[in-house]
Amino acid sequence: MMRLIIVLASVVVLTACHVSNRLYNPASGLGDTPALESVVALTPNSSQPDVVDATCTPVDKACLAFLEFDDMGESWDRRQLPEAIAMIERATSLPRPPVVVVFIHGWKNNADRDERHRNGNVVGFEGILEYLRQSVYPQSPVIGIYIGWRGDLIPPYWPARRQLSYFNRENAAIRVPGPSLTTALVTVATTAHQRNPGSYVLMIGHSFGALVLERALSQAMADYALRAATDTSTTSTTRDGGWADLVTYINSAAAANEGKQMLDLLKNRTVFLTRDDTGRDYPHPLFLSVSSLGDAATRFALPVGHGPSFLVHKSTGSFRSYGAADAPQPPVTAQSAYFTSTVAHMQALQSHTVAEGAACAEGSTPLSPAVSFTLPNAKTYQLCEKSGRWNDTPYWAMQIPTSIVRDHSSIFTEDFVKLLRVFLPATEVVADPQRRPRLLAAVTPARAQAGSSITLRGSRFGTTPGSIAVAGQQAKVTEWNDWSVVFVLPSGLVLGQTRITLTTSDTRQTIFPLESLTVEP
Amino acid sequence: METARPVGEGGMRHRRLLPLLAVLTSLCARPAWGQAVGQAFPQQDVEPIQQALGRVTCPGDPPGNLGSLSCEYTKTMRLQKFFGGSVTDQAVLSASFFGTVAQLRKSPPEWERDWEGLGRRVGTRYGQSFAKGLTVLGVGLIMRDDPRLVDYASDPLIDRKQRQRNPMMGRERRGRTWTRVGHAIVDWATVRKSTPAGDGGRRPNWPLFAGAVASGVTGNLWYPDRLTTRTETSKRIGGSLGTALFASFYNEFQPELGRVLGRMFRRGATSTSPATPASQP
Repeated sequence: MMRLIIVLASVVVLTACHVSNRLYNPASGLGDTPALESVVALTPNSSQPDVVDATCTPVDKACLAFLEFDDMGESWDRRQLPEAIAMIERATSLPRPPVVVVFIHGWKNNADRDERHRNGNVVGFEGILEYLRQSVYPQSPVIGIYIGWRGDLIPPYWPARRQLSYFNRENAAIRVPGPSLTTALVTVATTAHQRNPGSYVLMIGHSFGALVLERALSQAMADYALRAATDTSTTSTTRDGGWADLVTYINSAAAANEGKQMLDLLKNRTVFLTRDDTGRDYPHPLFLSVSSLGDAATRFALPVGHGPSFLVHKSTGSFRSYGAADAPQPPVTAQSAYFTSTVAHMQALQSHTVAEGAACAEGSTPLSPAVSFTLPNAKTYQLCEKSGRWNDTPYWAMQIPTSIVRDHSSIFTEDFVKLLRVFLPATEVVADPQRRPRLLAAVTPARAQAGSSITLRGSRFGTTPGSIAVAGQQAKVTEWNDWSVVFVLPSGLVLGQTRITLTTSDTRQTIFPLESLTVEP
Repeated sequence: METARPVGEGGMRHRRLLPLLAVLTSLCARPAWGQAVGQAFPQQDVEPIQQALGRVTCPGDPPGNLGSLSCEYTKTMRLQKFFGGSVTDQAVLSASFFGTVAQLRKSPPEWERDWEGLGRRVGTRYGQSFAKGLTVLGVGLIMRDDPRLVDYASDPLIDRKQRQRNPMMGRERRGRTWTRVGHAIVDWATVRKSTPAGDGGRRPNWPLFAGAVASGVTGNLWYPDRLTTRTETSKRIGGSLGTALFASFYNEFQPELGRVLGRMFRRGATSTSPATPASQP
């Protein structure tokens, strides 16, 4: 009897089943289950929260499209992307520009919306979209793109094996962001912006989804960064926002090595895209990596999970130390240190802090103008800039208190959206194309000496020359047209980061963020 | 070699222990029963926007949760818990681990330290776990309970009058240590009824008690006679209940433990200090 039990138990362990590798929401009219197709209309407060609607137009409802990728990173159904694009085109043809939100889920999740075992991330993302539509952008069309991949390998009936699937799924998260996904993301963003330049594109990646997103965007971003800095054509989409407006990595499970390369790119290539007319001068697009202090999965478990690979890399000499050739010198010279942490959790890479209360913590200063926000718990938070930070790029990294995001998974909350709102444009700006912020594509070079010629590339500068001031000093303008301004950097400026103020002939001012220009001796 | 089952003194202790356990359980659970049995209370932290979106904040969910449509403890969840905890890999690993520890301690000494002994030790634990899980599943199904633990701060049945006056109070409620100790005991001794809004009343945790008894008694099928007395069976039942009580305390004080861990690890992941900022010459 006892032997039988042991044999049965062993068989049970060794024959663990897995979540099937399959497409959950095929393109319209092509699946076996008509209720599960790739474009749905959200119907909150009903027994069926999402109803298949291949021609969904976000007039009085939010629309959602699914794009799914298999375990090798290929598109599961190539007809899903055209359906999603058609949905974006319908949204962009409406009088108001749309808000497009792209979400990539993480480990233990997928794109299953069958009501018998609906995935929690699908429900949560639908909740976020509805919240944005009803509370944040009530006048604007809101549409969502849910990127599905095989994040869930082992069903919950096998809890131990499910935990051990971490390594397998991390490999999948590295494999999935190939050309198919990058193409899909770029197509979504460019379609929205080209069809209606006022469109606002927000991309969110959670946990391993952030790793997928970061990997998928890095290649495209490198190309975009180079083009944006040198493009002088008058019809370039780079100037009109050919890219996502805000990319958010929440509780990212990507090792800091991934982010560091992007930081190096942004630091050395010096591409700064900023907005104005909103009262705020955030870089644009803004990469935002935020991790909760209560996120034990990426704070504690990730270093442990990376332990075996770390030892292998260490023993084979795969890690090196950064030296003089790696200018500007990274904040931590041991490459291995980046492998066992994430960008947001690594103090040396953090750019900002979120302080509870009205004052910033020691070692950081309030933004100018100050940015604070209040959550429904009546607590007020202040966004602060770390003093002497190495990360002075548009890739902002910060830890956030547990009172905003409690732990690794609790991201589909009102509080999280309220945090995002700090970085999103105001409701009236999104709703009114005329108030669309002007886009300044690049400051080239971003490190210069007095007397150097500086070029600002962007759009809607006007054809009549205005004026340029650097740290309050007027600069000599040598060239001015609607998309490009060239000026000479004045002498006598304080070394280090400085602020450029561009005033158009109709007296509209654009103040560039401090990261835009560094005066060198 | 197995010894004869002793009776008498052990049985007397057992008879004293059970009423004591019953009284303690009643005392612990009384405040919750007084409020809850057969009643439903306003769901915690219901915010207008959540209602408009058809979302609910279930006990234990973060405030303003947009990711839950129902708080019901479904049959699928029940089955997942049974299979995950009592049948599949976790149950086997747990039985193997504790069976191996018992093998090293040669407990019980009647079983040799050989493969057969290991098989008995592991198999007995697996069998006990299976019986416990099956009983919890069956009694839970009949009671339609929601066995998920909740801490004091997110218990929808605490301070309901205060919450009716101030719907937002649950967001930041933190009780005193002794209040939370009491809550951990109540959450162990009682169980909530499963409802879509997560507001089911509390009732005695019969699934837990029945499961513990099933576990303890099932062990008698294999343990040597010396360990099948009522005293020894009660000890096993007590051990099972004690483990559940520990889990309830862990759930209640998890934030504090997390903070301690955070302080321990701060030196690791987050303390790498920056070199000279590149923006400075």
